[in-house]
Amino acid sequence: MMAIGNIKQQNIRHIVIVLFLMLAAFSVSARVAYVHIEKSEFLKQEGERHYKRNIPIYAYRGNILDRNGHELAVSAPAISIWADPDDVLEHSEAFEVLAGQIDVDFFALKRRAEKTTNRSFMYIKRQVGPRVADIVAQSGLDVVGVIKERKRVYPEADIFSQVIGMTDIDYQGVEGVELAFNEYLQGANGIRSVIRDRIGRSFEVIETPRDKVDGGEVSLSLDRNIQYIAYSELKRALSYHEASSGMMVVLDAKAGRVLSMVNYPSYNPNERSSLDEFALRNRTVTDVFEPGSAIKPFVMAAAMEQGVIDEREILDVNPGYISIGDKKVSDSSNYNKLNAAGVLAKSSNVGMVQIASRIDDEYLAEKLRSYGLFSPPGIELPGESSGLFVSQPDWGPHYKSFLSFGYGAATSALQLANAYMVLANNGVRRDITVLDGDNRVPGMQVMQPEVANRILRMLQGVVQAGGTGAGAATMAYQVVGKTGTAKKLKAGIYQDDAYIALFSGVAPLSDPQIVVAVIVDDPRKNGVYGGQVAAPVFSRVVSRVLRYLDVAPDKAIDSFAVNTL
Amino acid sequence: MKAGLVILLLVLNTATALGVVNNQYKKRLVVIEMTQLENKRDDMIDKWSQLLVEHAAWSANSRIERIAIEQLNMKYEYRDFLYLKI
Repeated sequence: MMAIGNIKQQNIRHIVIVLFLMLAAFSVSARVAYVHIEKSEFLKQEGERHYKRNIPIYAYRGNILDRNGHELAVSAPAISIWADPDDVLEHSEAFEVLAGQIDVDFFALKRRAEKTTNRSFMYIKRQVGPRVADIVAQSGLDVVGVIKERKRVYPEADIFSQVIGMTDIDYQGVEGVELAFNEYLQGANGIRSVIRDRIGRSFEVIETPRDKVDGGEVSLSLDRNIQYIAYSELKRALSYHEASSGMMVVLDAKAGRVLSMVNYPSYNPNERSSLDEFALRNRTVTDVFEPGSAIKPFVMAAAMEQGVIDEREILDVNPGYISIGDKKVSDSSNYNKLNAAGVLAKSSNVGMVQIASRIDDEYLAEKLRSYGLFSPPGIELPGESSGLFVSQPDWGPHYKSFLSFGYGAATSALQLANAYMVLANNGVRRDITVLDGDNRVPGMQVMQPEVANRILRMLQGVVQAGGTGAGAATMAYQVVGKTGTAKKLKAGIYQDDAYIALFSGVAPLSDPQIVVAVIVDDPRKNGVYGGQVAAPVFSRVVSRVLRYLDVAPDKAIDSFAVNTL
Repeated sequence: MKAGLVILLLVLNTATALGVVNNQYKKRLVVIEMTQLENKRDDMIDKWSQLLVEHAAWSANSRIERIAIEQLNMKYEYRDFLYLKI
């Protein structure tokens, strides 16, 4: 009886244990099922939050090169120093010493720290060189962090500054080529999801949702040697004439590429503590001015294209002045009689007014626009000006007369050079570009080729002895061009003591290679006229640039200096 | 027969499990190596950029002209454009 009772008791115990184990197993299974089905997404996210890190893969900003592959803008390594604002305040004495060593205003730093105590990060100094990083390392301040970054360096400094522009502290282009091609240059940062170990090493890549795309290189048509020639000559002239500012454009006469584009005063984009807003603008593209007599070859071309002037015709410019409305317009002296070439050579306003009066208004307006003087040059740079020009139906009774010698309309240095390129290029106008490369859109014939060539021949008189631009002549090359001197307009009144002096021309005449436009604003000393101020700059630049470009002299050998060694 | 099959499956199971662990380990080593190589590449790009900047600075026209004038007593002469050795 006892034995049977024990067996029953054992069975019951066995069943209880089995039931208990089954219940436990079921509970665990139910929990597993619940966690995997109901809580799956939440737990996955929680897990990833602890071990997964999304790290950025930084793209490199492409370099900017000149047409010979020389670097004009390079991305170089830089270091930024940071700290927790609370630490700055807590270790203020040590930070004061460090600030003095790395040229940071400690009191400004402290003020910033006090304002940002709710954060745990603040920059102490951004984008510094390795020397500063060494100072930080030697300071022994272990609460100071160092971040590796990149910064833009401009090796040519102030010589290219307005054309190349610059990037801001966050590496975005804000001016010039840097702005115009920002998207292409900067590329795109990527992202990689990784698992990191306790010392921060990535040991497993989970996925790369977006790979980085490095920025492309931009090859410009500009030439750093030509740019230097233009810059140094302009700077020299501005100093000699005590002028307030100046600009110059050098174009490849065949292809419409910009070889040089300089502004002075300039600025050093590597040193931004003393940036002058005026110096930031690429004024060759953005600023307009009345072209003065430099417009005359184009009014003459329009007259010749319309057939209202014959080269051999003798114009009576006696007594050397003419009344336009209530204004009296004079020549520099009474030339009595001049032919068309003489009108250009002597820059006779009286002769030009007579010639312009014969041209149909609508025809003249359309032609001046088509030559490029008052239409956009099509360049890639930001802020391109279209010039200022009164639409033809709105011309007043005397507008055409003033326009014939370059008043009442305004053009940029680039537009002026673009128009002279039409003369140099057999009447073909091309859009201007700052990019290197061969895929250019074909130009458009905007002037009859024979008219363009005849105007070029007529302009020879300007640079010969007795012409207004004799100072533009060079020893070895035949050059042609036209001077211009325009009174400056201030508060709607033309000033008698403030001028813009300019010269624009083509060289060499036998086979034009370059077009140069020189503009000097407000010269104060050693002459104020285009022939005195801008023409000599043109001469020096043309001499040096053509020799650099290996262009053979086209003047007869006995007409320029030959020295024997 | 039945016991032999179980042992075989157990061995295969253990072997594949060890294989998975080994592969995971190797993968991690490769990832660490890749990261190190990427850092090395970035350092070399930085070095190259630095060299480009230095090269441009040393060959700058303004520096050459300054040295030519100050140290070599040279000057730019516009008038004597052509020299013929006769």
